[in-house]
Amino acid sequence: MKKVILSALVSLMLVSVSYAQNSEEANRLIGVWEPSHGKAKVKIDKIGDKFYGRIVWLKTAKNPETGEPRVDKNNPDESLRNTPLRGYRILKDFVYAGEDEWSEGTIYDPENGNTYSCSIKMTDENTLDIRGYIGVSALGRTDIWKRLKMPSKK
Amino acid sequence: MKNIKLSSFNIALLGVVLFLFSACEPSNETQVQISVQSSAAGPFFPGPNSLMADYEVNLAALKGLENVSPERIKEIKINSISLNLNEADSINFDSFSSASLQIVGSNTGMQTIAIKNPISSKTRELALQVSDEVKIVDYFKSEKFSLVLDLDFIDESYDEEIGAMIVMDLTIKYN
Repeated sequence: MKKVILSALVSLMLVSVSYAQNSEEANRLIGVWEPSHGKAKVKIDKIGDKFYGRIVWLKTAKNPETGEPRVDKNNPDESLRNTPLRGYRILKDFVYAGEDEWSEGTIYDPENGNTYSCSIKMTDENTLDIRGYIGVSALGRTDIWKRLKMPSKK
Repeated sequence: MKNIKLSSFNIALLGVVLFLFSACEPSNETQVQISVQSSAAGPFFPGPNSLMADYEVNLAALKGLENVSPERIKEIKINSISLNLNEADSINFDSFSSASLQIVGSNTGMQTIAIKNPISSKTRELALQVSDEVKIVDYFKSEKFSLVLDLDFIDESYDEEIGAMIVMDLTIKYN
């Protein structure tokens, strides 16, 4: 009987350690990232078990014509076109699939108002391959995002 | 030829009968109000900060839906959404430039359901502008969903906890 209990406890511990390691691996995505065009910075956070990225900085923060903060003027839902772009979640619903890859998410392009299926591959600790596609992954485009390091406190 | 005509007539008749059957399917609707407490701990910095709230779906607890199972829900219309900052917090809506509210479930992706930009209220209460197109039925067919309230802080940092009651007025159609 003791052996059975001991075996169950060891199994439980192994599952817990594995879960913690997996969660730690998944959380490496959290941080501030810069797309290759350099026009925005995107902060990726975790909500529940999924990952989301929102714009925290824009090179052109204000509409040059109005002087007002830029809004999501291309949103297909007209009633939401006044949403500020700063703070907008362009990456949504990513789940860690293992082996440095996050999938099942979407990426939104505020330039044209389109949402694409998306997968993320971490090629090293500071580099992401962000692949947006329609339907199948082969029909898509990959952009390389770089992690922004926070200045160290002295 | 006569047989063919008869056959077409029969098909048309069958179509009409089916249409009448579907039109006669009982359809009901009821208006409910859902209040969900959202909160987040400081410090908050200028820019968007998120308050979170979880809602356990329990139709039996909603007046008028006591005997309605989730699969019978056909449509949910959001009539209005308002926010009420907790009275204990020393903050008003004039501290924020904009607000947006998202809904997300474990098996259903995140969607924006309402926004307010700019915010002109100087009180603790704010009515949001609801999306015309958002569909939220699927969230009510799962056990729970979360609401994510993004408040865009204007400038000064704020160290305290913030809480806001999210009040949703819904019309739920079911059969």
